[in-house]
Amino acid sequence: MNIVSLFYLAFVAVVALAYFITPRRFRWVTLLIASIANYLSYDLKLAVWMLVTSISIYTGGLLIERQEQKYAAQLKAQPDLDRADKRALKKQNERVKRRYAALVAAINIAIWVVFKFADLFITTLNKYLSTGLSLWHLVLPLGISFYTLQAVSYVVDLSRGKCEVQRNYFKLLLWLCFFPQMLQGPICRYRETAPQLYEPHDFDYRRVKFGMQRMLWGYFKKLVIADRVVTISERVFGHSGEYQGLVFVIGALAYTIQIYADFSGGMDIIGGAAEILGVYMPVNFDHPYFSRSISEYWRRWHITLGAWFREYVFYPLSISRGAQKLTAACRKRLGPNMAKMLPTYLAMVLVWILNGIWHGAGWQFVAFGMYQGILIVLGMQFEPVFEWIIAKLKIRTDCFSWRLWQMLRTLALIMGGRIIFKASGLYEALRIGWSILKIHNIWIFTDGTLFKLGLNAWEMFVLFVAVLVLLTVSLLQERGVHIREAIERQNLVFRWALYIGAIATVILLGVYGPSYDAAGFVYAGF
Amino acid sequence: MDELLKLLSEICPKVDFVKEKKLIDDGILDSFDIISIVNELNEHYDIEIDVDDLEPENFNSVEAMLELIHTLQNE
Repeated sequence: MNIVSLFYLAFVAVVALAYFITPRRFRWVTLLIASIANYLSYDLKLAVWMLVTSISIYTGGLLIERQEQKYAAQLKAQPDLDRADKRALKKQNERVKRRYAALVAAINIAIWVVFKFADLFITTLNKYLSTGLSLWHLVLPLGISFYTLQAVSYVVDLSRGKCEVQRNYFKLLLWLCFFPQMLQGPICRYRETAPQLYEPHDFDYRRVKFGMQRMLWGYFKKLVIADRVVTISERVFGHSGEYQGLVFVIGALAYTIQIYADFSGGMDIIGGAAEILGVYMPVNFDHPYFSRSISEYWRRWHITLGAWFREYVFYPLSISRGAQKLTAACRKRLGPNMAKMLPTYLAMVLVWILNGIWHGAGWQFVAFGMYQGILIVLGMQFEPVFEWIIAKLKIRTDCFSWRLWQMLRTLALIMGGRIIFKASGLYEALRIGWSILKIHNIWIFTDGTLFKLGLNAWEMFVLFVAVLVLLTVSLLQERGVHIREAIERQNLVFRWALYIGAIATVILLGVYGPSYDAAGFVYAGF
Repeated sequence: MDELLKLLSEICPKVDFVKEKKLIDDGILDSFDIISIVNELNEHYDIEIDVDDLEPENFNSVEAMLELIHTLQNE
């Protein structure tokens, strides 16, 4: 069910109504029925993979719980164990629980890998070994890249003792396929979201109003900005052979705006729908384009994905025995400081390669991930050098201009990453990058080229004003202003003028074109 | 406590470990800092901080870190 449709709005309204009139005990069942109906509305056959995942984590959870009970019984039966024996027993318990978690995680990741990479693997085999195998053309089960990560987080958290087991299969299924966030996240941790799903929420006018406002803001971002600016990015990157130099900067800027308005707009629609039902989704965006470094940017962009990689890949790798051995082995050759940092840097680059692969099957996504990882590592490694230069040149760093410079520099680096991401291939991305560096066709800003990229002067004006509105709201939020609460404090006439104006803007200025389907959301394609 | 403060200040010289009580929640320490701290604590106190222990409540303040060290030493 497309979340940018009148049908979806009606669906949310009907589910909310049904939810609030259902007896409190069974309200979670209403959410489950709605979520299953929503999933099946996309594809009946592919729903089987969601079933496999849910059953696997349910079984894994029960096995981990059984092991925990066994361990407790062993401790109780042997009260006289000395400290060393107790420690050994604890270690063994942890080992068994982690094995169960690893098995379930491996099953689910294997399913995801097959669906996502089978054709890439076959293409590579055919290319280098001339195997002549035919492609599988598998259709990715909807939301698999998101719910697989959630599924893994559940069993791993259980094995680490960070959440309680869910003994009711249907409740666990609800957490995995909760309808607003199933398609494009956010990636929810069980202990944070699940209790909110099971707890009955009563109708609360203020909360429902806030939820609807957030949805409206999401539709504004998606329909007025993302689906308008997409014309420019598609034009530039889809016909990159026709352009050169600064036109690619315009294209990259357009794509940078598009992907933010698209993804964060989707999060607002999803978060708003969930809020109406009394469920608060984790924050996925914290005004990332105001970041002053790449590492800060990634703490503010797609926060739940970053947190997942940090918790389940980066931390375990960085403090593993292997990392300690590597440090010890490199100490003599690299010195104590570099030897300590090397495993962390390697883990970081690996995490970024995986992050890149998560976004798509292809070498350019590996390059996209490596680009981010290398920038972060270089930024850290050369920080003392930068500080030395700043001190030598006596540059003031406690002023607005310095912060602005840092933001613009970070934005330029992000746009570099967007070019790798959006170009038709890695070679093309390099060619575009080279063209930007080599050709300085500044006259494109005056010779009318900008209006030949798919949007006429009026459309450009609408886009400019809409982006200005987005920037103003973001700046206010960045300064700690709570927009919805601020609106609430205004007079009735002003409030309703604002609501009607916003709805009219979305209806009249929203772009309802070819991207008027679920696949129109960039991240729904992952 | 003083020994731990000295150690932490060597790892992250720009952080005020005496004053700050929400080192993780407020984003003062990033994941690189945490890994550096974990490696140093493991080496210095001869303990084994596991990935299960990497919770904000264990690293939000110097007191929390000290408590974690004591817990692991007594295990």
